[in-house]
Amino acid sequence: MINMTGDYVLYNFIACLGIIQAAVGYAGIRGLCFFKRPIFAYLFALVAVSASSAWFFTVKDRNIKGLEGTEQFTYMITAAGAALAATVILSSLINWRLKSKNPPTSEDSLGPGFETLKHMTYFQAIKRSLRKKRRQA
Amino acid sequence: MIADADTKLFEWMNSLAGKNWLLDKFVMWTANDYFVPILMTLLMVTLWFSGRTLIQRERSQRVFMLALSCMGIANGFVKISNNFFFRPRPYVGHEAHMLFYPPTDSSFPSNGAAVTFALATAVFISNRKLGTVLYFLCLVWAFARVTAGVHYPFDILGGWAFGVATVVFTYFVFIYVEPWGTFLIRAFRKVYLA
Repeated sequence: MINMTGDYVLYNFIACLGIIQAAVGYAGIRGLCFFKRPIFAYLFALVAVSASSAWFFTVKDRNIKGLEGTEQFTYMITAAGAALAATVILSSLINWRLKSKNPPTSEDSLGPGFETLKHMTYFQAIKRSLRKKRRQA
Repeated sequence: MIADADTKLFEWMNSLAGKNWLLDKFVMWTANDYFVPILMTLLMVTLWFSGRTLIQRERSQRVFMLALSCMGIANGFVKISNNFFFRPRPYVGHEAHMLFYPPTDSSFPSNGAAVTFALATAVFISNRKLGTVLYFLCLVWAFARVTAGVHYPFDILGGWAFGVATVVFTYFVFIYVEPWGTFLIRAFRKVYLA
């Protein structure tokens, strides 16, 4: 069962990593992209999902009693969360020198949440937010 | 009469198993507990990030939260129903051609159908394109589960009804607890995750 759980989490993690890249590439959230052009993000997603599926379903017979529905749900959420964390860290490291094509004129015009990540990486956004809080204090 | 039609339909669909190598492989691939649910969940993950504008994205994220809640609640409803009603699996009492391991829990309603149809219906309400894709995947899975000898067709129909009822119930619960949805999205936005 431990093997099955590990395989399942790893499969979901890789597939989620890929699918997140496709989604952020499409939405234009540059701060979370591993690639400069969305086409590479889509290709990465295709490879990640198909390769992980092929591995998961061919390495062992999966038509056996394995994980219950609730367990699947919990592990899927865990894997998706881990994939998001990996995306945040990797994209921040890859794009550490990211400069916006259309830099916002003022702090307020950045927009909340993902809107900010269209112009900077996650780490840059956190740093900026902490600096702003320190200035206000 | 309904039970009779259910059995006849099951026997016809299950008779397709074991005749064609390609169809058997397809059924075994799609009927298992992982392939279709994971594919559907991956498509749902895209909802969290999709939308080019803030308003579009917020709408998608609300659908994501609704669909995720529906999955959990549908699963709970089926578990409660199983405490009151038990229907043996088709391989008990029929000569079913099994392309799947023999499950021992109640056949009606199909837990998988309830959860996946709940997810697809929740998405379909506000995103017709993605909802249609998810519904298609649900139907493929349902066909495969009956053909593989895991469920009667009526179990799938029951699962669908449970799924739709769950979405209606959760939709109204969401209206009732609305400030929490907005609060959650704002909290995620604060840390740049929504």
